[in-house]
Amino acid sequence: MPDDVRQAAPKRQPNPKTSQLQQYERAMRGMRIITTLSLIVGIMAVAFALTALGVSFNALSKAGSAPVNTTVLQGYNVTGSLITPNMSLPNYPVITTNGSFGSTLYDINAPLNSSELAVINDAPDEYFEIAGQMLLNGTLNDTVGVSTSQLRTIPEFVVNGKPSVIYLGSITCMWCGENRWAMALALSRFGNFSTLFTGYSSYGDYDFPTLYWAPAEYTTAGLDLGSFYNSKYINFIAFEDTDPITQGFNLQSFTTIQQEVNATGNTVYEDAFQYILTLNDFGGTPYTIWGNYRVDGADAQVFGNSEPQNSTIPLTYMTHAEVLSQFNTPNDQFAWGEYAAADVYIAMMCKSISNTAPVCSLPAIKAIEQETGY
Amino acid sequence: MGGRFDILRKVFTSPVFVAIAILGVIGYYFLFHWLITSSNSGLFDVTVPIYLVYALVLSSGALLAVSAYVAHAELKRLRADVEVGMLSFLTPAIGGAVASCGCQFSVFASILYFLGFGVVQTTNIVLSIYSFQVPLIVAFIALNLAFMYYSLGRGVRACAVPKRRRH
Repeated sequence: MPDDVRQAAPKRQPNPKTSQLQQYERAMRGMRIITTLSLIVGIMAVAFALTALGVSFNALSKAGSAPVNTTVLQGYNVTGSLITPNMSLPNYPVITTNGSFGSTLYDINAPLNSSELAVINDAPDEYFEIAGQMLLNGTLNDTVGVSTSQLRTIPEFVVNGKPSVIYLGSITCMWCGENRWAMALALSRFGNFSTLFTGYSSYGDYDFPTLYWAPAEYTTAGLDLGSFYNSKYINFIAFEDTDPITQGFNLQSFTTIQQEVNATGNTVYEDAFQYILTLNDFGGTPYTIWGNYRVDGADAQVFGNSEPQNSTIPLTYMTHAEVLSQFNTPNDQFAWGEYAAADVYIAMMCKSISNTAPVCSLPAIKAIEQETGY
Repeated sequence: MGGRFDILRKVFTSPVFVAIAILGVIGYYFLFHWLITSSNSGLFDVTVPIYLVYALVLSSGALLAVSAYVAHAELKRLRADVEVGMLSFLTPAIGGAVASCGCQFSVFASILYFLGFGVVQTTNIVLSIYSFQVPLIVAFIALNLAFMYYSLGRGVRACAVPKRRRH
């Protein structure tokens, strides 16, 4: 374009309305971004708030804060015989073939021999004392103890003049599998087992070694009742739900369980299960009653000599012989953890029997009672 | 479907919305983990295949990103329906309540007790839910994908250029 034409042509002035529109669009874009980000933050905040509410509600509910209080509950005082199970079940024989860790049922349902049984029945009080002191001074590696959300004070279930320990669990359940070691040690302080049996948690629940109170119907859904326990201080009433052990956790419905209990015609067990129903707070297995205390879940997380890592539980890789050897001469995380877990149950039971058993005079047990308020 | 695929491509080629998806995946995995451990005394005991868990949180994070994009697009018209975004957290939350060992009941049982259900009904209902863990998680993943498809459809409409009127 010639210079003279260029000079003659008027310069274009920016349209004020156009620049205003651009500013407006920029502002709107910014607002949209802020609004969208606020939406994301809002969604996440609501998500976590609702989850926290749910978790807190769950904890409160398990502590029995919601449904029923002890002023409404009546204790039971019944007489009758307890169930003594069969020593063996022909349809559920002892398995003598070994398998790899995580998929083995070697020796399932085999009764413990006399030296193995003695590890439980004749464990020195000194071990319980040492473990109890470790619990009190916080030097255990594992979490041991019953949280307030797990514990509820209830009237006793008295049979033949003695308070009771009631257990409702499943052979398929990993927490029951871990808890039975501590329970057996605890019960051994108030009486003894004439026999216990080799058991496992289910394949889907880590297949780790445990004890059974009685031979288990390990391939079918059923209910095994009773144990070979005797005590002058307490009763032990055991309900063990069974399901195929090679699958995962399973528990029969309470309707089915009650039918199976009632089919036995044993009034003590019928009343004990009815008592569990009356408490109206079952929140999973193991579900245990120790005199005046209902404990929801296991009282410890003791799964071996190192911490569980998501899908790997160290206890899966122990044999029964190794477990009992560690109990026999405790000097590791697992053994002290289980003895301490037993101490927690012992303290509850001692309180319920007014400390009449010799174990109740152990300083650690007295201190645990005092510290926990049992 | 071409329109939906375009929206999907726009979402996952935008650094902002990819960041939102990642934030969602991390947040929802943490939420899932929290629900499992709070029901299992601190143990992350997942009894469904772990790849289903990953698929669930990934699909929830993706749904969150798509919902955010669609909301962002709809805001041009000064309206934004955000309910689908809210749903993106429900599936991992409910998944976290059903995906662990049924030996320790989750918040479902507490809610049922609170609503007045007795122990027999509560245990029956909760145990029934646990017996369908894997199908439920698969259903939640499918639900996330379905809502994503729906959200993408809304995105197509929100981004459509209105036809000019002819005089």
